[in-house]
Amino acid sequence: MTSFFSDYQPIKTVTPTSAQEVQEIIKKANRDHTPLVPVSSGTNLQDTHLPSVRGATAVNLSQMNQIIYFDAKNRNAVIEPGVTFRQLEEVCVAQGLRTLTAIDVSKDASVLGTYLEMMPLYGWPKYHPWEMLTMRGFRADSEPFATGQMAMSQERPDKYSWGISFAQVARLYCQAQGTLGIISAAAVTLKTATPHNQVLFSPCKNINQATKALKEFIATEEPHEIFAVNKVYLAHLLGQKISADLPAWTIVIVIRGFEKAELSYKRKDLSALATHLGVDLTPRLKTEKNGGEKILAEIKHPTGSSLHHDDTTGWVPVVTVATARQIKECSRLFPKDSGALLLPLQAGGCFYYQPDLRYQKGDEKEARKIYCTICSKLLKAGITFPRPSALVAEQVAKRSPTNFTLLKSIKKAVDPHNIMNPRKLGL
Amino acid sequence: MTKEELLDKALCCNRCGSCRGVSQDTVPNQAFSTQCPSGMTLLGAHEPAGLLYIARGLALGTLQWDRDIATTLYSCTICGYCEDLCNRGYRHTPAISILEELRRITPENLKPKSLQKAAQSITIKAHHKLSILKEYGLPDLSEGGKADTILFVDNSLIANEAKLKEIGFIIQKSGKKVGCFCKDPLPPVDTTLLNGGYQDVLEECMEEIDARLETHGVKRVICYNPESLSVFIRFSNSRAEFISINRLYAEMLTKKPHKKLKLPAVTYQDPCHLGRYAKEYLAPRQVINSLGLNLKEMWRSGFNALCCGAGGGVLADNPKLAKRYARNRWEEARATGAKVMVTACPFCTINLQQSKPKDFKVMDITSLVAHSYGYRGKVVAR
Amino acid sequence: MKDIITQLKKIVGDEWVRTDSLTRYYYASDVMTHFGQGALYPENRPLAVVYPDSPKQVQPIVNLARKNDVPIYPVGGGTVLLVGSIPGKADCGITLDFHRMQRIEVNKERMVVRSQPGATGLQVSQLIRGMDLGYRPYFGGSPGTSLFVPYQVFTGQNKMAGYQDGMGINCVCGMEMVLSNGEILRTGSMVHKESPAWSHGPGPALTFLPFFANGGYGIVTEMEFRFFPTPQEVASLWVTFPTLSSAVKAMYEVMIKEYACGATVMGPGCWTHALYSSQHWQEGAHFVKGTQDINLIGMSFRGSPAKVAFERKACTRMLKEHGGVVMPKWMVAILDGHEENAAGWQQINSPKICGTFTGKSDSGGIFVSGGVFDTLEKLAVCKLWADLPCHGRTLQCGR
Repeated sequence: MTSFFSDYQPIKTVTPTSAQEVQEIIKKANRDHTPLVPVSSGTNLQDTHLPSVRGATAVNLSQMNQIIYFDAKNRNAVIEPGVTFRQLEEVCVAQGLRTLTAIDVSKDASVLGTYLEMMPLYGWPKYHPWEMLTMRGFRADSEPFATGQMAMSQERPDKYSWGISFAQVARLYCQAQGTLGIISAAAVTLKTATPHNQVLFSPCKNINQATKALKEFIATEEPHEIFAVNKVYLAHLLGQKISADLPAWTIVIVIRGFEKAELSYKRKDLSALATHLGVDLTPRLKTEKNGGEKILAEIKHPTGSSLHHDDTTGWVPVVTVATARQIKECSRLFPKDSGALLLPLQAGGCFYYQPDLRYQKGDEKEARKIYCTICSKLLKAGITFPRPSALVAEQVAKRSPTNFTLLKSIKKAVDPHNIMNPRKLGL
Repeated sequence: MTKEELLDKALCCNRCGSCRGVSQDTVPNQAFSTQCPSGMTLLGAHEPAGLLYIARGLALGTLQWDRDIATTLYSCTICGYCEDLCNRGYRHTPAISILEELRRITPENLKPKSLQKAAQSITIKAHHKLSILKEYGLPDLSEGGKADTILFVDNSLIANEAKLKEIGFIIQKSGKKVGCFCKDPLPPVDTTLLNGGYQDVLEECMEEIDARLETHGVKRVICYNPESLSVFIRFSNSRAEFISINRLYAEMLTKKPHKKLKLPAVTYQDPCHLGRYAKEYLAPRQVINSLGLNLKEMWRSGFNALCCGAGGGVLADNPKLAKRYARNRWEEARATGAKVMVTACPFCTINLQQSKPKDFKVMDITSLVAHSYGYRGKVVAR
Repeated sequence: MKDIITQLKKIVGDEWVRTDSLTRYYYASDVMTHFGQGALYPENRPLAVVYPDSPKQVQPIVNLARKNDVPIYPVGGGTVLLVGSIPGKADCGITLDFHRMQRIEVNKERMVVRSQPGATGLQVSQLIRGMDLGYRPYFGGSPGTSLFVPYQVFTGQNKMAGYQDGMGINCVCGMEMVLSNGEILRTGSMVHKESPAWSHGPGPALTFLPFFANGGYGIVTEMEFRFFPTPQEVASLWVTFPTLSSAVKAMYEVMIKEYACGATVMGPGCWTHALYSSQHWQEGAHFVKGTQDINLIGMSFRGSPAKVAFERKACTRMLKEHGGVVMPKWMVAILDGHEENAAGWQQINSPKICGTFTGKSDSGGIFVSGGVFDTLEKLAVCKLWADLPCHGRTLQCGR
């Protein structure tokens, strides 16, 4: 067992430094029928960068770390897979911009890899999952491809300008866990940094109250970031021990603005709503006076998975999207020491729901069984696994047979030798 | 119309599909959101845009008359919703005149049998019953003399003894001086000539009517049949004012004491030719209110009223189809909880009567008014 | 072909297969080609028009077509501006009309509307209006247009809320599609009955495959898209500028601050909004002629009264600083109704935009030249429109 999610290690690693080299690697792999596993930073929380078969070669893209084009005016950048959040954020700060960071994904993670795999972003409730714009790379059969205006020949330096990613080809590569090809560059969206920012907290008695309140708060379209965490997760965020003083659930709302007056009206509006909902809304937590600063710091530079585990404890997030009713039913499946996070999506019509499991290191086998059993029950309840891990991929595929039949035929068309991260996604 | 004119008018419609559905904020049942009676067949070419495509095709020479085209054309009740809606903020497509022009140029052998004889509809039968009106004190202008106001008698009235008695009774009770052409009636025009494509005959009739109105100093013409009213409004060049008989009733009920009627809750069918064509929505409602009746409006009323299905010659030519159209209206009537359908048009009355649910009654507004004033004749649906 | 007609009748019933001359003629053109009378695109008539009532009927039709090499042309409302539903050759193919598939269901818990392809924008507006909910209507917003067109086929851009919500494609959650091999595919939120309203996954999102494909990837028989609670308040702001570049500069400042929920920058001859909201197209055409020297920004705000007031005030200030002049009320009157778009209901005026070209003085209208996507800056100076007479230039701001 190499990790919780994988039993295999790559036998070799290659480190291209250009798109041309990537293509050569893929061509060679097709000739030799060598499985490849693209790795940007390996921080997708489910180890999809680790192979599911023996004899794979890891394609380490971390050295392709150029910010090819930075457009402050139109708030976009074209980047290579090795560009990290830390790196991009440095450039952004100088231009009054910021990146959209991902939950539990550290600042040393690949921006492109994070967005490509649609790791949930703190900014999703406001900006929705359209942070990836256009992209280019190579299919699994080594044919080059590009999407949107990147596919067009233009005499201009930017070549990304289409601001909303169209569907079809582009979206096929998202959440594909590297099974269809390797992306060598992508245009990503950036947002404006705001001078005034404040965090508000709303304690909730239970998960039900939290989902209801999240839906109401997000309907105002005033929070920039909004999520809810249970006490375990909150304790981790604040760097505290889990105590009885922490509320069962806490809604965290971040309001931002360019003027103080902007924060002022948002505060008033949200407070009025909180009163109407029968919940409190405060800028401070009882147990932590610097809670707001800590949250803002975490959003700006997420700690990553190490927030939740240490040398002796393993941490496994369960990555799902679910309705409020499904969450209410299924939250009981998790042990009391589980952390959990809720991110409202689609105006509160559904939630990114990330409960987790903890285990003692050494107990991985048993933990895996529990994980698979719980995931199976979640699947039966109708919960969606948008990025199924290797352990549940086949179960998920069986639940949507026509989907996966089509995906398999797409896979076959672009990867005739099945060399690109085989066995992932049940493909 | 020349072909160029027909094409020009037909191209006003850009197939936006707005007239497919009813234009109001909420509808209770999506199945009924389709507004066009022939469009309710769900066949695209039977919607207004499809019917207007006949004009486009014929004018361009890309379509030739055949039985199917004629059948589609004559499945339209010419309820006027499409033009009315289009005029309310879209493209002002003159759908009605296009459809009427198409009927005019339909080859005779393709016209429905009942409409092939439409030109004869203005032939006045010798055994008409208009002398009844004299018994109620209406002076006969055929014998000379002048009158400010006359009652216009159309084909639905001309031999309808029972209805003539009711109307005569009401007019007598009103105390108003209303004349009529009894011995030598005016051509009993309604939309039949238009339905059959005999606009030229209609124009001739109008000339005669206008002249006689002028000769007898008529300033106001009261129409019982909304179809006659709408034809006058559109085609008469007379300086006379043409009004619905409901206005007479409404005015009378506010001035002359009458008995309030005890009936279960009622609903009201806006006749297309009274409503959309003549824009008379208020008077019948005032009448219903004055009669002390509990009016429950169907969810489509006023300018959004759904056609009963009788118009355009459909009732005469294809009673089965007319009945099918009427079924939709009855569903709406049912939903109001009312038990009586009040009508203000003889054709609505016939069509709704023949397709009514068992627990519903159809009552003509004229009969209701008559009885409110003590008329002892039998209450007739038609 | 006779045999195919017979088999089609067996699938859907005799009355739902039409081969009469009027039906075939009617389906040989759409809104776009209607006025061109064959000049813009040949009016190719299908061999038959078929009206299925469910995917269970669509499937065997597709199988029949595939076995016999007969092309299929699906039609929603027949108002699409892309000639997508007209057969590619004369007397060829089967047109599928979805008038019989008009079902719309609202799932308040999942915040989605599930609709069939025959359902129109008008119908969904009517249904959800009474529920205090809104969806995001998109260009292509004629009431008779199938909902699927602006979301799926066309580059549905919501003029007055697209900035915040993106385009039609951004609001789709899932779909059910009959593939050319006859299989029924369900994606995203429609994979299972109670699936959450999420279009992405599991794995690569297949939801978006049929987008912009003009029916080329399969026949979408049902689609779910998200809806939104109605905002407390909506408002608009219309500001004129002496030059397009000054309007663009001003708009950049607004976009950086992410105020407003939707905005459009219009070059001289501000046709698009006027024709959408004018009482009839002549009124709009006069407005267009009267604004040949005017560049205009139109934007919408939504949210709480405080939010709307704050953002509107801030934007007014920013736009004025760039030389903008707030449009007088009497001029703005013609643009009334655009707030409805931001609130989340169908804007019902777009039929006016397509007009006739008969050469007479009261004729006129707009042909949509198609969408071009680029940065605001680049579009403003794009040479594409430089030589076109009486053109209107509309730059709808995306995210």
